[in-house]
Amino acid sequence: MSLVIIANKSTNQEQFGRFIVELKGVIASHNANVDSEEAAANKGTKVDLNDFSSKAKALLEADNLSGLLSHILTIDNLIVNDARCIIFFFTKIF
Amino acid sequence: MMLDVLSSSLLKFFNFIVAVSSFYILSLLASKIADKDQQLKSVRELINSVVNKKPETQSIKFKLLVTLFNGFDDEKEIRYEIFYAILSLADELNKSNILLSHLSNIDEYISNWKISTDKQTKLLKLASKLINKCDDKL
Repeated sequence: MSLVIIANKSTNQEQFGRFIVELKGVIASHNANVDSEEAAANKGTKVDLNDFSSKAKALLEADNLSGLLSHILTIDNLIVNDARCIIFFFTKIF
Repeated sequence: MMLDVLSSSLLKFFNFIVAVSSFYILSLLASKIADKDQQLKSVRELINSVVNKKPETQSIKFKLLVTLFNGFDDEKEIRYEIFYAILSLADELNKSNILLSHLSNIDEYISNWKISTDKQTKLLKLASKLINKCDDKL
């Protein structure tokens, strides 16, 4: 399981770099869902994937973990409330 | 019809697993923050992200806060903050009975955490309120 791998790795960059990659996949799936008619009806909002990714990487490289945590939490509600993203994230993690 | 029910149950289960897994990683992230003041701010941010979630996710909120609580074994100030948030949530949702065993150990927690008198008072008042709610249900 990815979670075990994440927990066993030594540096912050290794531990959380993988998580950022997983989140990028989730965001991409979320954005694709927003394009669908059903999501449009629910007024879903797209997340700027490149912006998320570059900011997250910069914060991680600077070892600014509190900044990274805040950055991830800004998209938390969007991705966690998207049912299809949840399934996608599940299959990616396990 | 049967498939719809099964599909809905599976989705709820996935939802639960994913939320707990993701939150575990976020808790791990918070536990690695070196600056203690900043760490406390980040933990408060995490607590708010849980308690402000949609009402239909109430059942998972306790699990997420307990995950966070267990991630900070040695940080007494932070443990107090999370424990207080768990009690507040129990009060808000009228779920005081599920915390009864913890409430009976509250003097031990206070002694271990070495928190200020103000915080002790705040915590004891809330605990007393929850114990009274338990009595009302018995």
